[in-house]
Amino acid sequence: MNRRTLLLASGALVPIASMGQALAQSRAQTLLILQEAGPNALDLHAPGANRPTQPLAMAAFDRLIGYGNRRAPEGHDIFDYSNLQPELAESWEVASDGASVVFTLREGATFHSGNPVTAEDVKWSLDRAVTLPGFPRSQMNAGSLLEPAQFEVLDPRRIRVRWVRPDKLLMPNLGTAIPCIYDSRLVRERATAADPWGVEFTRANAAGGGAFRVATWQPGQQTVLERHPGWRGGPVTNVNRIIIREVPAAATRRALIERGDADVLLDLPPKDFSELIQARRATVQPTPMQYTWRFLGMNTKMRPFDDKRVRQAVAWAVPYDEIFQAALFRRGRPLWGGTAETMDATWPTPSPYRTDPDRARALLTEAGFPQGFETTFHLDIAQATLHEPIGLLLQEGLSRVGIKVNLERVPAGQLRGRLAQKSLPFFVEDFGAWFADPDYFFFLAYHGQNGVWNSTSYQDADMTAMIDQARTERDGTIYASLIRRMFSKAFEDIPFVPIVQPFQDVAVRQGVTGHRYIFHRQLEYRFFNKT
Amino acid sequence: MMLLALKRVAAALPVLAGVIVVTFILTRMLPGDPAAYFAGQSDSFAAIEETRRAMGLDAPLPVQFWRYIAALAQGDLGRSFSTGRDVTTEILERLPASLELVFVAMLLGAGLAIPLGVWAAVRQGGMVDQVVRVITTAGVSLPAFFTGLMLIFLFYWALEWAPSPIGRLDLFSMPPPRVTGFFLVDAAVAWEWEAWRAAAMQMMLPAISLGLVTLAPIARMTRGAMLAALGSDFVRTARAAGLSPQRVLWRYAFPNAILPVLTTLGMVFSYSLGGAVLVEKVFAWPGVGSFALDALMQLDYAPVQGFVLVLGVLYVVLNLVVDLALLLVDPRIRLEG
Repeated sequence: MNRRTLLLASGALVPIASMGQALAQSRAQTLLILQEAGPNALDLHAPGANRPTQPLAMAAFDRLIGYGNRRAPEGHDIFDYSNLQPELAESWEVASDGASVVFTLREGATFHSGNPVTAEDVKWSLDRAVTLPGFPRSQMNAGSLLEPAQFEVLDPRRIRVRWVRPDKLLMPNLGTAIPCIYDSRLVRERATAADPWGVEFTRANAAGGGAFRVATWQPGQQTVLERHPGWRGGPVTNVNRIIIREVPAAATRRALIERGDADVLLDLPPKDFSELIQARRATVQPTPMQYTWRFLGMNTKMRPFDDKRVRQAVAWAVPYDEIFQAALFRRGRPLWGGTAETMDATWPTPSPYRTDPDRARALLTEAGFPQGFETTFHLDIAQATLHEPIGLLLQEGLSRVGIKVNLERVPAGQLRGRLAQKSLPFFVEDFGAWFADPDYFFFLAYHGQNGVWNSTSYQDADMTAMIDQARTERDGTIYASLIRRMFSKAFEDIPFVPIVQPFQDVAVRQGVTGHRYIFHRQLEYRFFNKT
Repeated sequence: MMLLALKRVAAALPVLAGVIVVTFILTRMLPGDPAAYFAGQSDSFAAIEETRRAMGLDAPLPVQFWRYIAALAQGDLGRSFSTGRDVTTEILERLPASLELVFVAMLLGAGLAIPLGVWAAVRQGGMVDQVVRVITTAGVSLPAFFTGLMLIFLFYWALEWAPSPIGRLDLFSMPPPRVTGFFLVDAAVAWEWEAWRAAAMQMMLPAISLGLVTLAPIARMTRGAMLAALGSDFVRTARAAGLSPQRVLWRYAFPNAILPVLTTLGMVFSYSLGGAVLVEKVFAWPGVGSFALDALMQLDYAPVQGFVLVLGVLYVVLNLVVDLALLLVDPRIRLEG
């Protein structure tokens, strides 16, 4: 090194050293979250927006309302949508006839751009959500929000929302990720005649006013969020920056949380969580995923599963306990071996089946398959660490009653398409709804309209009639007895064999608190605290 | 030489045209329905159809192909639905990451493999030869992602020498101003040695994992070529003429052995670029291989097509470079375009 480079080097060192201090300070207020994949858009209304856009939307945007919480035994919170809380609206009042509700906006609320939040923005955003095709419109429709005429601006701080039919999900639905409030003035400047809702702009620009603004977004690498100082929509924590880093390999994510370099992660295979808990290298906070089950599906339109007795035989032959222990590592709540007492009117509930090869054989003989049959079981390559052992144990278990199972591994994109086309005979899948109401779940999975999520093509006139009745039934006792009858019917016809209600396991570093389980079953970024 | 290069490029054009057609047809032949996948949590078939329209997949295949070609003519590779951005942008950002990784891995691999191969040939059947055989067997039989996980366990988790294996830079380093997209080059050009050090640290473990894979074929080829050269008439003549062993080895045997090694280098390079996928996954390396694999799994057509096309172009260029290098090394070679 000559004198000149020495001088240059020492000159360069000064800013680096002071930068280091600033970094150390900011590290204490920075939360590092590891995810398998990150958002592929900054607007979850954009066509093709993936699941990670949902937690991002919850942080970067406000909604009129949020949800209250109840405390889990492990110390974290679980959302409770029967307890609505103010977010952008500071209050609301339902009209005496129950046909409309007026929301009053928080005074002085601003978007990240500095624009004030007005009732016009709310109207524009809700109009957008009911108009844009795909997920936005279908989710809004789930709460009977169908058309822009339902939203009416009263004055700059008040907006009225009308019911077009009685629907208990209308209010809770306003707190989901879809009805986010957009900075309409900013977006409209960028909208074009071909793209009146400015989706091309919002896809890469989070034009909201939520707790955090998006500082940088590098799809496939990381997203950095910074606190919006003007946010008053909920409790403010000491985390001022959130880095969401995409680390695809589960083993690498696990190494980082074990070493204490990462603050929060979810989405490890159950085996890793069960080992993390035993090794006590991070705090694991499990929540039974609400309204979610992992099941085996049998296509009721394909031979031999078109015979109810064959499906029952499979349900009696599944090696539940082996799967629970060796494939799921007990990370879930068993959904088999239920009795009349365990079957209440809440979802999901254990089925009456358990492993009983004799009964399975008897049913197979009755159905005309005394020697069993051969079928193909489909599993998701992307979830191979979980699905592969399930497939293998199933293969072994069903061979005891003469059913020969071939395994076929399918990429995620292909699997989703083939499930929607109802072209798979036998498969494993997870399904969960955003809301708990069993009639809503049954409507999606069991209704005779044979919708997208009815991947077994199950159609039954009695079941459809009960579901239709339950959707509008307001008498609690009648509703509960209807639901019980629907459960019995579902278990007798057994197109879906429930296995477990999986846990959402979240690992947090020592000193990190504020994990909140929320409807989309991913992380709620906004309320973490570091000590 | 210029003429040769032009001829080569012209000859490659029909191949690339074929690549374009074949990848288009192959992606469309994959079973499954991308619209159903990208409609996500929508609960209606209408929503799936709307997504199909938004993705432009409702048009008949010839129309889709025409749109693809028309866009391609303007340098537009289409949009990736899995990342939400233009494929051109993605590839421009990710290709340097992959190339840099493969370059460094090849540098490590070849830098070690060629001397080892020469040494093993000189001491054929001796201790060194055996050791080299063990190393090359290990290099071939240990998958790169496994080596990667072992290295993470040892150097990051247990010894705490290596930084967090989470991509090209640690959390608190800023990328150097972009010139080439190669962080090591850009940081050096910008005189930002702190960033250079950070990038080099992140690079170490993935480059070693990938380098071990490249080491085996290069070392074997070097050894084989050296053995052939050392056993040839001109070496015997040189020895008989009383030239020193060092001179015989480096002046006469080695230049003759380097030709097949160069060809192997070219092959290993192109193979590593595609084969780096698993290393990229393990080290969260934002490379082009993992991008294409994710796209393939999600039936995201545009990135798959773009990736194959760009790789096709790269192979053509790479083969040309190797051929030109051969021409420089060995004046006896006459390549016909």
